Amino acid sequence: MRRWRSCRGMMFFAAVLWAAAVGNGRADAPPLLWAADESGGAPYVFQDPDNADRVVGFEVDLKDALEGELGRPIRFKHYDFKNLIPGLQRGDFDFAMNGLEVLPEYQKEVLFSRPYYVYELQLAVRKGERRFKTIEELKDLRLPVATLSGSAAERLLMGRGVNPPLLHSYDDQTGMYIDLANGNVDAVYIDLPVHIYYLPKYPGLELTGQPGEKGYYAVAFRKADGALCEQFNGALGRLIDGDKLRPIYQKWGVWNDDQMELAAPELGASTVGLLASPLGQGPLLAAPALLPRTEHDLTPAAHTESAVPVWKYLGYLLGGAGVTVALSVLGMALAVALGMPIALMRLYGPAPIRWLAIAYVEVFRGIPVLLLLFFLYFVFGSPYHIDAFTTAVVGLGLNYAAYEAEIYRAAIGAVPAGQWEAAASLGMSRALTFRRIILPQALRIILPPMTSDFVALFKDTSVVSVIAVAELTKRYQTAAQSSLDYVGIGLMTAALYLVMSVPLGFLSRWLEQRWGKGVM
Amino acid sequence: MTDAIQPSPTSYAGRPTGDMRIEVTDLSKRYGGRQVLSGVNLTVVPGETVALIGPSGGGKSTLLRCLNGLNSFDGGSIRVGPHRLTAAESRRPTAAVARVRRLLGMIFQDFQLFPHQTALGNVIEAPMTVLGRGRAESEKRGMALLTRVGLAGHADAYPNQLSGGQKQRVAIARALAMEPRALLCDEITSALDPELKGEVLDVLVDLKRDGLTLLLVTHEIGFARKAADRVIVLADGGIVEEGPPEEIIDRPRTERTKHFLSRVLG
Repeated sequence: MRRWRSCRGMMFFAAVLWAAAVGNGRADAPPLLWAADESGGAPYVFQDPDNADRVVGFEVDLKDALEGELGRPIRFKHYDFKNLIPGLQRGDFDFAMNGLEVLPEYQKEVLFSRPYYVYELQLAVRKGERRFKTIEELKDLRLPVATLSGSAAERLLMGRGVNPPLLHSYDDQTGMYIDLANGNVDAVYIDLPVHIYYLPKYPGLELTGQPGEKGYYAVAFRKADGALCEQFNGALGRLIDGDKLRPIYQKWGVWNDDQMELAAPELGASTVGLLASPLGQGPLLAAPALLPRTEHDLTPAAHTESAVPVWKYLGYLLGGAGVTVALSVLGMALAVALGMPIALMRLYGPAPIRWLAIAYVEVFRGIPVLLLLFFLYFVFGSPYHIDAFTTAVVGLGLNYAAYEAEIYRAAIGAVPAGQWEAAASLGMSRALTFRRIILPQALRIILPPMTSDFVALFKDTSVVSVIAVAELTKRYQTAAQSSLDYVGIGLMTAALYLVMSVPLGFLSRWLEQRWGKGVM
Repeated sequence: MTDAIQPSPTSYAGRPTGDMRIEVTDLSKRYGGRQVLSGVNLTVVPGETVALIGPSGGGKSTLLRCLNGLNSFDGGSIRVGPHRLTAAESRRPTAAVARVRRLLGMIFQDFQLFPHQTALGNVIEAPMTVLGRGRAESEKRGMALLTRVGLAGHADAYPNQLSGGQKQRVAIARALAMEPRALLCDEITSALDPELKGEVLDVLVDLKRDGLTLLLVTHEIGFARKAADRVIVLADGGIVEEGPPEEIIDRPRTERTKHFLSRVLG
């Protein structure tokens, strides 16, 4: 641990020096935006356990090296892993570098640089597993296996006939290993670098069989950005030829002899057409021996063995709580602003207007928010470059407006018709009656379900992480991946949610009493 | 929704002071397939108290609701003072509806007080929002009206804190706050316990003494005999007979009235 600290100190010093150099020499070069998902986990890109405001990982070091070669600053942008490809096409960033496997499906959509890492897939099991050593044996035994969703390993498993419910796809890496350790699945099949980083933290787990199918990680660009891709190819080529990747990979414990292959001439130019044959069919260039544990049990693993105090993440989580509150308040404001007119259209509008209101409610109530957000962000909002936060507010608002409209409609309808007549007999117009007599009574009926909706919306804000808005739940995932203290971070996050939602309940009851005078 | 049913700007200051008689001419109304009113003719002169009696479903409440513009009608017309309301005008919230309504206050069987407002709040609501009067003036007049119905001490009570009789008296004060020339009372004691009916009927007697025109739909035959100047028996959508109460109630001429009275009086 001491070694790690001093190592980190030196890194920091180097980073400061380098930053100064960049600041002086290349102030005019526009920064490139690099997207990756730090909640996806180590050792690629993950939140620094010692400093929640920065990310670390072998791809961060690779980014630093590329900056030097390209002579351009590169800025990190958080993005949901599953949406890296659509986000790239949408123009939210310049390139994605996050353990993206060069797969034929991806090659149709984006341009890949030459590979910067050679990965292999391997099985991890609980120690003492005797029943199987290969995917085929696992499949024949019908045992459940875990992998990351959207990964090459997942595609390969499905290609071999391992499907849900035996195939468990996870969004985060830690979940797979916890479930393996707990016996919920019997194997984890994933890229070797992931195993190398996480297995030391779970003493009851080990690798089994041989490293299997081989593939490549490369940097992804938009198809139109061929020139930028060529610049990266040049930079990567210089790093590979100068053997500068080796120290980075060794530092993170992910170096092995396979990486020698990166220098092979056939990988030199570009990877277009590199994997024309389906993954894993080509024979391995060399059959590497099972990587001995000790070889990989390096410093990156060591530093997390000492518990990072949970409170260190409080500021980071509070920032997420702020985003969550802003999303909820703005989303609800939009829902209320839309919901009331829709309710009135449905109650009092002429037939076509009424149908329109009914259609709105049915459509937006029937579509999952997640899908709505995807559509708004990647399809509808894409040409206009509407930012993720605005999209999230609009998506939540549109969805909840349907619920609000129904609540308001029911509440307004629940006020007796005699109240309309009494007001009319006093000479009050319909509009005046609605405002002065009906609405105040309806509000009291509306308030409790509306509070419930607000609390529900408050929690539903967690879905917006799919369009890369880092609200509280997303930050919980990131921090938990970084600290591996799922319980501590989880309790703190839950406490933050409660601290925010419980006062809402009190506020609602207080308002009910205040507005409910004479009615109850 | 529409300003059309707001009273005309001249409604109060320039209010007609001439003959405020109520005239119903050949009024007819179908409801679904049923003829609820068929050619009803009726005149109520200022200061008169008229009791409408008759079997349920005879059209009494419908007649009152047509007068107040709460129901439309299919034929005939209504005139209150200088304002005339035709069948066509009755179907939409027109200015004609508002003008007629402006002169007639309505009291409902089930009170229909605004539950979110105090007794005083109920009384001053329309003067403030419809007539645009100031709060101070409205409250002063409102308190006077509550005093008149014997509820000065309950001005700050919400409807759910009042008895049925008290609620109905607030409703009367609320209607009077708009200074109507006549009160239409639709079975206003039917929902009350017997011991509470008296306090409401006493208020009506008091208003009658002041010269307010009253048109009452009632099942209180005793009250009708005592307080009404004229009793009208309405059955099957038409007037069966009418006349002074002692004549109609004690010496009914038609079988229809005799049958009805025998059932009500037991």
